Amino acid sequence: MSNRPDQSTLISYLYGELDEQENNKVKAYLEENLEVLKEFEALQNTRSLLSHLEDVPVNQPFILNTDHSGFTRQKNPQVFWQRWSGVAAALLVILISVVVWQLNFEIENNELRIGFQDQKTPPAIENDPVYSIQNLQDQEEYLKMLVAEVLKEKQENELLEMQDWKSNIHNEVNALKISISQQKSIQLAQKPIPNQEMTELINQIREDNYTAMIKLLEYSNEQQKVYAQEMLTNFNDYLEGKRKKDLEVIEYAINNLKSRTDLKQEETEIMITKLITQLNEER
Amino acid sequence: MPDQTEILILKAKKGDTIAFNKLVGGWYKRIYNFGYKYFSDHDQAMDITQKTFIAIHKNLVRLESPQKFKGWLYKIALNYCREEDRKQKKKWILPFVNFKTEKEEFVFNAYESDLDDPEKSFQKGELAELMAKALGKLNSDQRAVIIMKEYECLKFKEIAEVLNISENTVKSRLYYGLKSLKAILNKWNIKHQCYYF
Repeated sequence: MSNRPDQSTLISYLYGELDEQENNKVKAYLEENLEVLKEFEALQNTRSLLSHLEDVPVNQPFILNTDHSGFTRQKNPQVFWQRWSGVAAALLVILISVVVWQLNFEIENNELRIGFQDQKTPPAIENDPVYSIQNLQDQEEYLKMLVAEVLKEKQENELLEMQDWKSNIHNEVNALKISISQQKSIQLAQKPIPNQEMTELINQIREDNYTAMIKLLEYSNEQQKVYAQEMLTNFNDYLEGKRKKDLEVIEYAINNLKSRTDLKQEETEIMITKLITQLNEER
Repeated sequence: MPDQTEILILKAKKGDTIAFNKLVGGWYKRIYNFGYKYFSDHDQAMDITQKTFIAIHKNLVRLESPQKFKGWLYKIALNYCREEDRKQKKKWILPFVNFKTEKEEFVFNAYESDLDDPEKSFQKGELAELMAKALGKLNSDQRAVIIMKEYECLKFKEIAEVLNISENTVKSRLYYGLKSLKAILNKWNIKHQCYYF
């Protein structure tokens, strides 16, 4: 009778799902039978090729972490009963508190009154006739006081306004007097200027303006030159830095490529050498 | 002691939407990738992922035991995959835009590029694409078993429950699936040694 493992056992062995005893049996059989070993290796190789097909990354769907899923609740009777038992418990608490504190509810004249025990609310003060007459008298006195205060305040304000007005008029008259005297003194100081003096004065002003303009232009030119020089120097530094970095990147890439190429070449040479030796041996 | 998923399932069954959202967050990537490997198509994978989680939401109350959640989830996903497969066979689809052939903008960055081993990375991508194509060539039963075992790491017992077949049948399908895959790859001249010398 052959101990050859069947398809099912071979597959279980391939995926490492055999118990230790069975595993050893299959292992021993494969070591002895090259044909079955080849078959097993072929299955193993196909599996290793399959491992190249990796998982594709996928974005998780937009999920709302809320508790507002109507259709879930409708279908779940437990949630329904939980909700209504909560409401019932709240009502029970209210009833117990009414009984414990002996709360008294009254509805009178469109008013809801909640009181403790059977204490009756004192009668409204507004309904007492004695109180209302006294209150009216008080209010009258208060109004009189108010009127007196307002009148007094008004008088005081009027007096203050009058004083302010007087002082303003006095100031304005003084200012007018001063301005008239100044105008008189200017009229006295003014003399007719001859034409020659006038032209000289204008020429002088022109010359002054001209020199000022030249100075300003020279100054601004110098400033511009300095600014341009600074800008060029900075740009030059930036370009130099950029060039250095680029060269570094290129150097790194070339070195990397070179080392990889060398490695590949070495591997290929080793392979060729192995093949040649194998061929020589076979001959 | 129940694990995190089981606690979330129990909470979600009681109507805790936050727990359900966490459950979706935890399994979304797995179901999407299951669908993606089944169809090699993003839109179809997204479609079945959404359908699966909607079905889970509707029927979670009916799940008897939280331990059976994983198998149940894959069963629903697989059913939608099969349904989509049937629909696809009935109509002839020509994609409007082939995204895979669009060239991506090349930006060189010496420090982060594939300069380390561009050949290897190219080979890796190329091989992944070929493996996806090869999986697509298998029949749906073998494909489902290979994906569930190889990528979703389900136990033979769990796969048997999902497919409603015996464990031996699962193993047999896996065996013949791997053999068929090898034959397809041989036909395309893709061998293990090509990528592992």
